[in-house]
Amino acid sequence: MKILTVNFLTCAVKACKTSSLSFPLHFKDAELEQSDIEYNASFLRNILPRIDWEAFKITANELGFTTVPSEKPTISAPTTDLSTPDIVNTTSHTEVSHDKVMRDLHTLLLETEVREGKMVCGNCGHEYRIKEGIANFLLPSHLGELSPFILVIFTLHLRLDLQESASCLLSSQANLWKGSWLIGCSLTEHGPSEGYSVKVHVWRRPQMEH
Amino acid sequence: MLPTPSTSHVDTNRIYEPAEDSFLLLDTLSSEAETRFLTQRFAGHQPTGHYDDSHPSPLVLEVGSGSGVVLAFVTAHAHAIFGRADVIALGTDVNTFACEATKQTVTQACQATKEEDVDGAGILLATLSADLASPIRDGITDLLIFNPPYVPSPAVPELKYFKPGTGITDTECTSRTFEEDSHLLQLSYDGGVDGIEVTNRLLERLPDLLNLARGTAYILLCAQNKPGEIMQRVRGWGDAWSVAAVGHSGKKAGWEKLQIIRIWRG
Repeated sequence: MKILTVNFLTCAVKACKTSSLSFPLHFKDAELEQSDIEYNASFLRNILPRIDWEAFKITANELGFTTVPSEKPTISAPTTDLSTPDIVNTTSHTEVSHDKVMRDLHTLLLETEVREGKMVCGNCGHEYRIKEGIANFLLPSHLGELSPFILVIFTLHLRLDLQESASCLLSSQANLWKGSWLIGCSLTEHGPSEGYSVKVHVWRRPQMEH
Repeated sequence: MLPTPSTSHVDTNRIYEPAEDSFLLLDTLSSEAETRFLTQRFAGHQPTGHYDDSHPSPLVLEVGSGSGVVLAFVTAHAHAIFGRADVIALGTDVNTFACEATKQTVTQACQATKEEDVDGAGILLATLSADLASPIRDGITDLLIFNPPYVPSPAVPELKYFKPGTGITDTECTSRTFEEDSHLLQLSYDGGVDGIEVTNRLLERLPDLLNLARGTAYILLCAQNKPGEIMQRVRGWGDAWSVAAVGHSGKKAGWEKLQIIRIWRG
């Protein structure tokens, strides 16, 4: 996954999309690798207008790249055909340093890949794993792992004859809360005369795109 | 004819194999009418050769990229299709194996183009394992391509998560692997009632996803998806949006008859 990618991503949780904290996602424990892509000045020049520079600076800084210019480099418009690598052929001091800035950006944006690590939402704290270069944005309900959203766990000990009223109570609660809350329980039988214990989980329904 | 990207490395036991629908997308996107449309829409610079800040690199997103054959075709032949090669590409799929396959298909196809013309192909940014376009920011997608699960089925299968590389090899756990593979393939076919449930979820977010100036989407539908009704619905989005049927194939009477609609701003 190229570093540039994160400039186009946000948290997959629908409720986070309106929060400014969900962009950019923050890299954590990132392992990087370099690929080799031929430098193409006009390609890079056309990518630059797409980049949210403030977000990119945050990303670069988190990954330990501290030499990113504080302002987006201004693009020197070629007066001739776009395909002419005019910047490279010039000799004046400012343009040479401009070329160095552009080449460094090329390396960082297009050649640097995140191979392992996580991306974290600044709003909900959800961590998206990156494994072998592929980030996983599937949300917990997809994963069948609800733990990040569990709010309450409690255990009820019930007499045998109360089992039925307990399940009535639970299902009425579930109805009350349906929408943004989920309720679930697991039943343990302790013995013919000792009744049951019920472990109850209450968790927020993950908010996804519908 | 632009060459079709190689997908010989794709494991078709668990990833949707390029089929009639995929090839219809390739034919449509490379047709004279569509390349003309796309070239005009994404023109990189004005005729005078002036650099134009308002026409940056197009961002292409394929939702449910599967084998990656369509995304690879568009990215590797960017110059032929868009009239410019500075295209940046993203692919998503719920199937992690498909994400891996797409990455390889696109990379190989771009490499093949570069052997002929060093600046002829775009760049793949990433493939992401995701539900539709859930992690993609609003308003940044210039070209969205979607070959959805469109086969009518009682319901859209719930996604079960199977982690590749769990150390459980095929020989140790054949039946489980077969079940996993079937599930992954089923996700690529089953579209729920009228085969349209997954497409509908994408359509709901499409006006937000697409770029306000250049946003364009190509969506494949089959006859049972009732393409006419879908196009009518898009017209209801307002005057800023247009929709047209731009490609079709298949049996005339059978439900497999396929259609591609183009939805665009302006």
